Amino acid sequence: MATGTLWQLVKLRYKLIWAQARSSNGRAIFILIACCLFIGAVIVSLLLGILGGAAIGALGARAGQIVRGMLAVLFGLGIMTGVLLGVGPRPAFADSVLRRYPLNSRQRFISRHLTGLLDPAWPLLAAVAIGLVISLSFAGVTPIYVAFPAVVIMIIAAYLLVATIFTFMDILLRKRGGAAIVGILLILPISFSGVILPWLLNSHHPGRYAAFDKFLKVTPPGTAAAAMLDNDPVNILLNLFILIAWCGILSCFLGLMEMREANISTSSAAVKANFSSPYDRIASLFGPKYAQFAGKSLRYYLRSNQIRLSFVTFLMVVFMGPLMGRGPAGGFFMTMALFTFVGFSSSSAITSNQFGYDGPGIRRYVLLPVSFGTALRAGSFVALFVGFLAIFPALVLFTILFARPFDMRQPLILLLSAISGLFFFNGLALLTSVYAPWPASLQKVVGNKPPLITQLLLMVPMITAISFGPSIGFFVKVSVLLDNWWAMFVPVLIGFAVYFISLKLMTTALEKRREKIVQTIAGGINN
Amino acid sequence: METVTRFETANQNELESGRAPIAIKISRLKKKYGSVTAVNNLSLSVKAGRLFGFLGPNGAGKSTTIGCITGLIDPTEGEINLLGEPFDSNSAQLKRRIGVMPEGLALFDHLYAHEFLSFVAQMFGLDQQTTQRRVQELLAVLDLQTTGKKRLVEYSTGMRKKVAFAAAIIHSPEILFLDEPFESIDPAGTAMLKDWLRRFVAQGKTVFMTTHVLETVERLCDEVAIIKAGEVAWVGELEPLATGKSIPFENQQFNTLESLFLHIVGEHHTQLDWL
Repeated sequence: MATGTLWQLVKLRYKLIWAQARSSNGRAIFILIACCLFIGAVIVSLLLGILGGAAIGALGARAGQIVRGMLAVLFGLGIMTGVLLGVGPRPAFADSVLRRYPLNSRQRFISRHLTGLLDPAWPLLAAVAIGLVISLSFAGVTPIYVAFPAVVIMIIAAYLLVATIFTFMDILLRKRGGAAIVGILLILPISFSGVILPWLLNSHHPGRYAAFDKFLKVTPPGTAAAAMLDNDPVNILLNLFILIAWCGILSCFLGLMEMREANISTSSAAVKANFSSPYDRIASLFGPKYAQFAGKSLRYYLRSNQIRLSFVTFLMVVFMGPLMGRGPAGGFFMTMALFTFVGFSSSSAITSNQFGYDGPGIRRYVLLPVSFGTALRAGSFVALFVGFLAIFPALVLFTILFARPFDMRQPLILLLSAISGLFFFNGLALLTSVYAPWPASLQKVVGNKPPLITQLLLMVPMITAISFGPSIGFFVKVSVLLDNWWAMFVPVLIGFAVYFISLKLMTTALEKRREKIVQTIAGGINN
Repeated sequence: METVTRFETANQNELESGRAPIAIKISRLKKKYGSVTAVNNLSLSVKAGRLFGFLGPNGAGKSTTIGCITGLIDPTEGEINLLGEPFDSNSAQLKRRIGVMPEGLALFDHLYAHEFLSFVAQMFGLDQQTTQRRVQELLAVLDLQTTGKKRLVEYSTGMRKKVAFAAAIIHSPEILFLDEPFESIDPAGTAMLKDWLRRFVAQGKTVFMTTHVLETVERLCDEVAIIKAGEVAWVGELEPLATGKSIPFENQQFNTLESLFLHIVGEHHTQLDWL
């Protein structure tokens, strides 16, 4: 391949990030905050990795299982990153754009996914993995020259897997009835996992888990762990080869999916002109001042493939709490931490970028005989409404599967936790909508990526919640929390205060930044 | 006319005698982007009941000017008066009385045409019944009824222009600002829109439009301004051309708008020897 051209494209990716930062009003603040947050996140991630590694070193015999478990969690975080922040190349590196350059299809594939992989969220994940590698090598569990390539290739495999799954879902979602198929594909394993897990872990039938364990060993995290922990050079090479083979196979699948995706007709379902649709009836609940904007926002939320997908995928957090948290207390506190962003994350793609999906349509807000701030407020109220609706399926699922013995206070605490997070993150989302808007496509699941500042602003509180949430279990027993469930109103009030202040400040800021936002969104493509 | 207005729309006598009130008045308008001046000290007056063509080469500042006088862009300096009242981006009441077809069309791509037009109509204060009637009429006459079943993102460029035009007129504005309205619309559609615009100004309302199609301007517009590098280079009536006479400028006579335009903006005939 023309390495020079590839290098030029990678350089272009970072020049565009820089140009984006440079074009903002407070460029110095922007860069400073971004750098501080990025460095902070890397340090926290490295520390977590080091602490995790030290613990593994101390555990000795069970190291293999634990390393594989931790790498699996990293892999899972990769999928979460993909769901939350989008995967794949930005529109500026989409195939249609790269076709302008003298590159063949293979070169275009490498270019767009290399730039996709080098986006800040993935190196952040890699930092956690590298932290783990460093600590493991210090603990004498694995040599660094094996562990380092193993985790890097595993991260690449995670990226490729997420990109492949999302491209496949993109294809399905563009077809009539596709959303229902995707929903079923996601809900089925989730619904049956409550049955499958006990079936697999049944102590009377150890063979079931042994078979499952064999499968786990050939997955990317399993293979990476095997490469890291084996002493036989032949086995190490074999495992590294399997990892590379994973990347190769996933690349082939991804390439085929992308070819298929390019040939799909994107026509929407025919609709009869309806002047009193359910959208309008729901929107009228927001009052005459906001009803028209609310109707438009609701349509955008429910017509977005990314939101439809997020609505379903974020039900998975219900299962992650009990699986990721240690012990019953840790499990509940982890679930509580995860519930803080269940409502927001189900619709974060639009919520954190309210005007980004309007394209040149953003000019319409300015031409209307109302203030731009009215549109922002209406959009934010709809975001709260949509997020609030998303909390309930997760609560019901948790209650059915995990709330045993049933105690009403458990779902109540989770509801309050979810509401506090909903307000808090929507407050942050107003900030990102006004200060870091980006042009995005409502039809795409792949490639809608927020700028670095948005990624960090949303990711850091989430990583913090997941990392430190379960630690509450060391200081407070679940029973104490249940007895004092009303204390959860405190975070709700804090979340509401953050939202309220943000709404006030951002409505004013929006008027000042109106021209810049219109220029950014109407002007062109997402860099 | 349904809109209640304090502005005295020009009556037939005023239109014929040329004493119609000023509908658009721009005074010393300046717009700077950093160190770049896009529009510089631009002053213009357009009387009510006129079809005014605003011309200039690419990058001359036409869209910036329209942006400033419709509230899309805040001017750096200068004053804008529409329908006898001072106008800026916060003039909500005045915005109800103007219709704009902006650069880029400003459509919400993922709505259906009827949803988008209903949204705009109701934002401009039309009741549900009137909205429904006008949307259906507009979709029918603009030949968009069958394609109304697609989202706007799936429309062709010409169809999108028609929807944007419909959105600009749905609330019966008193001034219509159109940024390149005819490009990409089929000949039948163009003929109909021209007819509508003639009827519109005949009622004493005003049209302010930009286009690069000089023949259309010559046949349609009453008056034209040509801007160059953000400044007005020429303003004048097109009546002489319609009556077979020529327009005098800088000691020369121009028989067509095109020759005048090229004289003002400068003709380029540079050859590239490698092409």
